[in-house]
Amino acid sequence: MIFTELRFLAFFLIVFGVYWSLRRHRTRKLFLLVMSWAFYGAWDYRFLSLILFSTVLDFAVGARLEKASMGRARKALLAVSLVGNLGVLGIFKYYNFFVSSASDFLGWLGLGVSDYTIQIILPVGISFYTFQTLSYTIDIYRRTLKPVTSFLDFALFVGFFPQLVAGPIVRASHFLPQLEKPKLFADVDVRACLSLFLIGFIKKGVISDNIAPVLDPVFADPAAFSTASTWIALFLYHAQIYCDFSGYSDMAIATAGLLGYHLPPNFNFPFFARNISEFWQRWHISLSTWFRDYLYTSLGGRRGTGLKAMWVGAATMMLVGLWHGAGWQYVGFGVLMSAAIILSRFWAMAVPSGSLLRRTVRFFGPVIVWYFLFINWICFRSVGWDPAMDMFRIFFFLQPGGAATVDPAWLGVFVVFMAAHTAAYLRLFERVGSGISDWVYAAGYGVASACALMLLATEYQPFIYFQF
Amino acid sequence: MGIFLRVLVAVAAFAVSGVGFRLVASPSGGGLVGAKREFWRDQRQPFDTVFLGSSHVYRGIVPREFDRQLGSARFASRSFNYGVQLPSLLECRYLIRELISGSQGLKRIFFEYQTLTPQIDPQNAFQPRTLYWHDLASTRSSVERALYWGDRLGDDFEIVEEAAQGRSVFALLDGVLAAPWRVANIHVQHYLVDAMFVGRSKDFARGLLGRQHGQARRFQDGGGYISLEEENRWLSEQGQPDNPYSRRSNHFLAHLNEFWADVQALRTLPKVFEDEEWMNSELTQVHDLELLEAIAREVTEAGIEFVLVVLPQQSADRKIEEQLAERLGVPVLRYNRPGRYPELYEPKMRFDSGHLSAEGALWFTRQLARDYVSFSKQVRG
Repeated sequence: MIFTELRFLAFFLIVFGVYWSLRRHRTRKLFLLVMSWAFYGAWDYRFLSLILFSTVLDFAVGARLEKASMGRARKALLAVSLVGNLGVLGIFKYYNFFVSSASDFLGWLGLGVSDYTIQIILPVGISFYTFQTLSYTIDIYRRTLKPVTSFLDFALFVGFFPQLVAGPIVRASHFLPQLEKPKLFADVDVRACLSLFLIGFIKKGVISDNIAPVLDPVFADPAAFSTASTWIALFLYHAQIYCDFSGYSDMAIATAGLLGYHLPPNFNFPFFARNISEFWQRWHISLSTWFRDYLYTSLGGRRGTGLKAMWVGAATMMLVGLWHGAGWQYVGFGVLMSAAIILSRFWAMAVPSGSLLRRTVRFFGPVIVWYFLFINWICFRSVGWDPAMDMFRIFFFLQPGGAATVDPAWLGVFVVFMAAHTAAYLRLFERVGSGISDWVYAAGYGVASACALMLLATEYQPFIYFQF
Repeated sequence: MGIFLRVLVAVAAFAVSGVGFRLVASPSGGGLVGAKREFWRDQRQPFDTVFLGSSHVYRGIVPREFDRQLGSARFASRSFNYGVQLPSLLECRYLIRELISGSQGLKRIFFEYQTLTPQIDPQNAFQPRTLYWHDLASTRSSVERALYWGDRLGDDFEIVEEAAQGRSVFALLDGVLAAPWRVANIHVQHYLVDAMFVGRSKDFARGLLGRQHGQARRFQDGGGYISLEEENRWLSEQGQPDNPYSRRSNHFLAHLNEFWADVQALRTLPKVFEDEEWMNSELTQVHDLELLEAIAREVTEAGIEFVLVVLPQQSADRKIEEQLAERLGVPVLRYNRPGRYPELYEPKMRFDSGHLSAEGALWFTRQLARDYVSFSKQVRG
């Protein structure tokens, strides 16, 4: 069940109707928990046991952590949480990758080994909810958060369906306090939520899903396509990955908002970033800030000297890359991002802040960021080593490709997307929208929905970030 | 109260927009069928005879020749070849209803006898071609036939689907339904997708630009007929000497022995289904005489003559074919009999194993016209 399907609309209308008709706050939360588990179970009910495991483990660890006063005991409890959660994540997401990589390496050395990989599928959203529950135990360990006494509240924090499968990664400190206060429908900004949902729907169903089939053949065999087509494909993938993921985040935030809960924003116009550090402050914000607060800071990145901060930053980016998936393309993505962090630190140390060179590079910052992102997208999206190399050759050296082409009209689609994106960045839509009455808004919403359905891609495409 | 009224306003605006889109660009079904529907709609001088069926009709009947033959027997005729690739029997019913309601002077429909696939071919699910004919009446028929055959076929009624094609924006209960209900549900989704104009941006753009299917004008000279040789020649001139048509023809010539074996089987066996090159062999084929009877009744009740034609293919079910005339009460002309029509099974008469060549189409059209005239004279006499 994904947000762009009718079955989600049916599901949500039931949840919305029943939820707001219930009077007691506790009953509402219980209902939300049951429906959240049903939502997750619609993918594969067997993996509910994993969510339950994380929930029980961290609830118990949190309660014990509060009581434990000894530093050693607290560390041991935190270790239980880390090993338990990351262990499950490691087995389901990374085990086969590391085992097969090690096996390939040993084979390359001439030491044949048996195949120890296991037949296992990746539970949807495991990377998201694992990091979410970890934030709870780490915060309690750091004494920045009090453990929650209600298991219901904690279970709902872990399993809340709008953000369960693809984020945003919500911190316990952000969400748990919201569960204490009864919700009033009068407090819900219905217009803002409905608008955000429709925007997310258009990003995912109209832009991303229509682009996806155009890109598949290009990334499968870039050598068959002309140089211009490969470049068009990279521009399109730039738009697709943003629309796919931020579209999901928008719909998740809107859905939660209609139930009276606030989720943190996950994107803030990343294509206008002037450098890679700023890009990560604008892209998948809930993940980058998680790594910043729980890893980079813990490893002393903030307090360290310039050089230490640089290496900690690079290591953090490597793990951000690996978080995205168990595959060498994500390792490559992490390496490139790490290299960018190291380079930007050197740049900051070597070039004076007010110099002409610094100002010039800053002026061209977004262009440089885009170029660098394109290199990353090649790593990220390629289906194998050979197609990636072909694409790099075309990208860097403008090497002539094959005779196949991508319709240049798609570049027009990209331009329209960027124009709309820029208008949103300049808050033009908000300014226009704020002046209209609820009646005009309702009529406009109906027309916009009809347009979105007409433009909707007819072929189903899963969310890209579901695989993470 | 205010909030409910605003929801109503939004729903009304949604519905009005949908109707508006359809007015600007009514979807024609895409591809060949879209082009033929548009060509038919744009005709000022109406056709009185229609040949409806698959690509075997499209490539096998020459309307101008048919009209000439009928003219020489003092039968007036202005015919149109409405053959399209792989139509479903249910789609044909929709097209026939459209012909009946939109054509004043229609006198006769020659309809290719075909089996029904009660399932949905996953290749066609949620494609414009499969969506356009899902109006309320056709959807009801489709649901009814899926459930009818679900009852009769039992466990043999299996769904052939790929995960992605089992989903649509309207998918609700696909995973929990039994096979016939699942098919029925997908038909309903087809209806919703078509009615709400989902994913029809290309149709809309074409409608706005005032150009629909460029193919339609190609039907002007041949009354809807284009020979396979002409298609092959056209693609060769476009720089594609190795094209799907030439490949089919070459394959046929290289495998003549197999063709002769099929023809031999057709002469002797009561049931042969060898001509399945275009079919998804995982789908069940049934003889839905009940549906065919309903179609024949609708046509004859509209005062139009309905003639069933079994084309010269390599498939046959003699037992069923022999029942057709009696069961449907309409003339049935059968040409899948190499014993009686050996000319139609000569290699020069065929472009590939399933389709007639230009020469074969001419021969067949003349024979069809002669048989029709002789049948009509018998009836009148």
